[in-house]
Amino acid sequence: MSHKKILLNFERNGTSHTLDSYLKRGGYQTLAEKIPALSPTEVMEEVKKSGIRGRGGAGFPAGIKWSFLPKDSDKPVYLICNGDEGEPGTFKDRVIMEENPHMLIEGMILACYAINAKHAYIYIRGEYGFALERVRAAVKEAYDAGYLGKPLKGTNYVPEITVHKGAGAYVVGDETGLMNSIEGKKGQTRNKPPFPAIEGLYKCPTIINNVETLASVPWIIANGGEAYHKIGTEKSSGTKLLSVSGHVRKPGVYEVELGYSFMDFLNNEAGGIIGGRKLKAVIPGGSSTPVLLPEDIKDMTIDYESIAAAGSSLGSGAVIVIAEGTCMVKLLEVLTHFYHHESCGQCTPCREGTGWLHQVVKRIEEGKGKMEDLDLLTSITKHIAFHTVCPLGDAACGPVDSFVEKFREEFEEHIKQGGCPYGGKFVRFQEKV
Amino acid sequence: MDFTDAEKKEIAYLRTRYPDPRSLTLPLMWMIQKREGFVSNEAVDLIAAELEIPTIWVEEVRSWYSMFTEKKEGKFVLEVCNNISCAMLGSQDVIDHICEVLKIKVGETTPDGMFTLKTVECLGSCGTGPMMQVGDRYYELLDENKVEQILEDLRNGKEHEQKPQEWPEYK
Amino acid sequence: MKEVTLTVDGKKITVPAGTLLIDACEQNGIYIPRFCYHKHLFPSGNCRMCLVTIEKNPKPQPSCMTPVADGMVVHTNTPEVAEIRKAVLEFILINHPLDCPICDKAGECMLQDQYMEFSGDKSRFNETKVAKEKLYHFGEKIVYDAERCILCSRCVRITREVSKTNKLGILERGDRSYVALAHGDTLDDDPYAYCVTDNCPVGALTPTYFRFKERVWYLHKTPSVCAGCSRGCNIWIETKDNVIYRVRPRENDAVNKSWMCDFGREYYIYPPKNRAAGVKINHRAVDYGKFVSEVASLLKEHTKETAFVLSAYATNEELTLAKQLTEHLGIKGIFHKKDRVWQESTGEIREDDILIKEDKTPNMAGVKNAFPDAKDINDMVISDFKYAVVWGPGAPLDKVSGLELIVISAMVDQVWDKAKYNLAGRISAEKHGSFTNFEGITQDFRRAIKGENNYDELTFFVDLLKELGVKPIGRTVQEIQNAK
Repeated sequence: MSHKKILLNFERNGTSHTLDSYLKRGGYQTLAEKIPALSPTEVMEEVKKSGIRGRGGAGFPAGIKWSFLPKDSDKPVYLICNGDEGEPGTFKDRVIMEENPHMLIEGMILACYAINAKHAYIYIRGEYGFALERVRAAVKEAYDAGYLGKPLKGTNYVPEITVHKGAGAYVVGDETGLMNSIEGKKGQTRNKPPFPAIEGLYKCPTIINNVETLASVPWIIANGGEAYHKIGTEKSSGTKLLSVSGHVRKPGVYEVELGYSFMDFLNNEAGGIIGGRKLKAVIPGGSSTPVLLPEDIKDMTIDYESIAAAGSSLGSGAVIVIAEGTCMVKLLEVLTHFYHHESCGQCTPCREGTGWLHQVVKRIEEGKGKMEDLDLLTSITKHIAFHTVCPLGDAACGPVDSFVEKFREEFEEHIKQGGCPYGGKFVRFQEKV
Repeated sequence: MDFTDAEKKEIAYLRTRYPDPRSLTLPLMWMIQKREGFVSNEAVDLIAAELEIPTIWVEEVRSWYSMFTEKKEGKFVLEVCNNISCAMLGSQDVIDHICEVLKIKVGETTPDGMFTLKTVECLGSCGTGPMMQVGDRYYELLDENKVEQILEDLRNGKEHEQKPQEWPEYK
Repeated sequence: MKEVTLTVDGKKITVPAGTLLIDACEQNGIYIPRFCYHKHLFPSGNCRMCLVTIEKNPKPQPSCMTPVADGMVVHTNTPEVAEIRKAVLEFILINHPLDCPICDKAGECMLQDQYMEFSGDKSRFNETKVAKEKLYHFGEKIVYDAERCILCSRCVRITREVSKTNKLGILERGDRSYVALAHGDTLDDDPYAYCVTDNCPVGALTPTYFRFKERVWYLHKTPSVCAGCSRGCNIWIETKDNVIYRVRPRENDAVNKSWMCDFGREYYIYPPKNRAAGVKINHRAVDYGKFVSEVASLLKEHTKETAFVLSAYATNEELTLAKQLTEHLGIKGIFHKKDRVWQESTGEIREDDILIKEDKTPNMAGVKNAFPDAKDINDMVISDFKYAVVWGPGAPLDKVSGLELIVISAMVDQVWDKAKYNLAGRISAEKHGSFTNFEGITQDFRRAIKGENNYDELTFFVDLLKELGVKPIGRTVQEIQNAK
């Protein structure tokens, strides 16, 4: 199936990131052609009509999020683009930032206009040196060309964007953590409510959207919200970037229309499993989303509803494919180590619980587990999930619960054998074509 | 310790981009780390004084974010991702190989001060794993041979040109 | 003020709008356990001990961060909430060293108490605890044990919101986190540093002066009022065998909330060395009865030539009798003085906008209430007098040195040394009474320790009045207060 290309509408020839190249493929036309005729409310309405849902992981409709801004506030409004792509398995925003940064900037300008933002910040994780370089260069180009820092054609509105570099913290991907980080604090999250639309950055109303979400806005404004809504399914409209990694023949970032068959995606775009091996499991939306078995995904389509029905979540669209011959306990040890490392330290259940989970899983992997450890694990997660300040606690529990549930026998085998049946390490199956 | 004139100009500009000077904490820390390779206590004092905020606030930031370092490390810090996708594709083998070649353990620095080896969490390069970061450059699709070449190049001061990720095709 | 009505555990309660749920419940007899929440600090919502369920809310909510709302239906006594509390306690305890037998906080530890009340379960944690620094000196006054710390951030918020020194922060992240000072910094110059120890819910922050000195359950707590300045912070004086072991603020929303300054505290912890002792005439010990009768006849004979210098350390009840005495005798030369004045050399803070007042005496307002016509001692015309009763320390030597002196004071100073008549008095910890602070709030305090080789001023005035054939207004604090 050929998919509409909204975000990856360029040839990967090494110049797509430049203003020239972007203009050649119709970039920034919405500013000249649409904005003079559209009021901010109308821009917001188009985004609402598109039905586009937040591409960062939570899947909340972006237009509705924008409409939560208070109507009668005298405080300035801020826009933040969340480019703190940190969910393991996810590398799709990186493609936009490195290879199509102007589309993101155009989307931010439109969003800024819609919400009357005083200033917009692009927060890019500190590790993304190259993406930072490219986005900074693109922002400079946009200032030089007058797309930023000057009134939009036909309006008095002046968009301003500043690029802010992160410094290594998964939890900053949470919107309130990210705001604290821009404010120069530790990126620990805040209790909600108040929600950012009411009290966000600098205690002012703030809209925060993912890179992919904002980069989709120019197409929505150019073609209309309804046109966007026609792509994909009724409740999951539009296209989605999937970053697929693990044991597939063709890892990478693909843009697919939502509603696409997962198995088709796996076998066609992703090229199937490497080495002709059998599929063992799939993590469909980044490391925090529950793992699925081959039978769970047989009829699954790539959209929010279908993946939820299968027992997981579309999340950030990070598909991690796991082939037969991979130790799931070892894999869970890697993940629990990650959440333990990234727990911000603020609230009790996550701070103490993530380390506990990791120690127990590690012990099982090393052959020192006991049968009652399996129930202990799910009992610990029960007390972390939904009891923490932010979703990191919930995120840490998704893999633990689903791994123990779906691969219980494998855990039991480790315990009975007193060791890892796979020798305590991952086997490398891949071999370059 | 002080900021250079160029840095001071940059700080003056940054001040116009944020309503609260405290927001400059991360940018200024990056500025220092880029220049010195690490953020010393003296640098913390400098930033706190520049922004007129309590020193402990700056120290909290230095200590909480994983990318800021307090002590001088090797000239090249090899940060190998050991998270899910890279791990499945053999990052441990790469790490073990680096240990063998450089005769250091994870977390250590070679006696000549050239390399420090660290393992880090997901760097968002899962489609091109195993991978590592050195400074602000990504080195992707690593294997034992490639990593030896990279170490060699780094030692010889050969620049690594960063390109957008190119995804492989496997058998 | 607007009020809202909500339902907690089936009970309808009405509280002012804006009240936090945790306070609303407590005001209505439902105590919600907590570690990080402190009513005099901004809530941080991080310990998760106060989670409750609110109908129509998918997730349990921290009651310390949730303002009440009309029609809210809250559950605090369900099995779900009980399980959350047990779980939070279990989490807190997994990395806690459980060194209660050697911990100074044992017996008054919120973790111990809440574990006993809300859990009692055996831990299921069989892994390795995170090892941290157990002896981190936050300067000379306070020691921090990072292993005991439950990272509630109260201490950090105290330095941020109360003392405003912003000295403390939390470094590292996850279960490696610990409270710290900036490099090279100490809490020694934070004038409210000891407050972090009082309000630490566990034994992570302990004052060096009290470490390993006494188990808290052996201490006798007496409510008192700090005599360190005219704020009149409410305090507990904690004693055993007539020795002050510890002093802590006593909560009072109108005066000092939950705080007091370190100077006030050290005033009690490190008793002054220059305490006066005994009763003397011409520097020789005499019988107390003889002293009373000699002073009585002297005053009677030389009423007009006697200056009466009041003490701002005096209690209101003592002042009542002093007033009765001077009125009876017709003494006109009445003066007030500052018994203690701020001196830069001691490192003490002169005044701040938190608690510390420039007037370093506790009862100048009481003196002025009782003797509105008293003049400042600095305005005294020396040639008018031949004798002076000097009450309390701190009288300017040049004003009184030429006079024949009767000094009643708890402290030895140059004036004491120059006196013909000396009677050692008591400090406020050694007596009952009341002070009136600079805002006009009168506060009672009780005797915490017995005076040794000194005399209660109140009794002295009673005896003096009796000697002069006058019935005192009252013979005890209680009688005098009732007589008013």
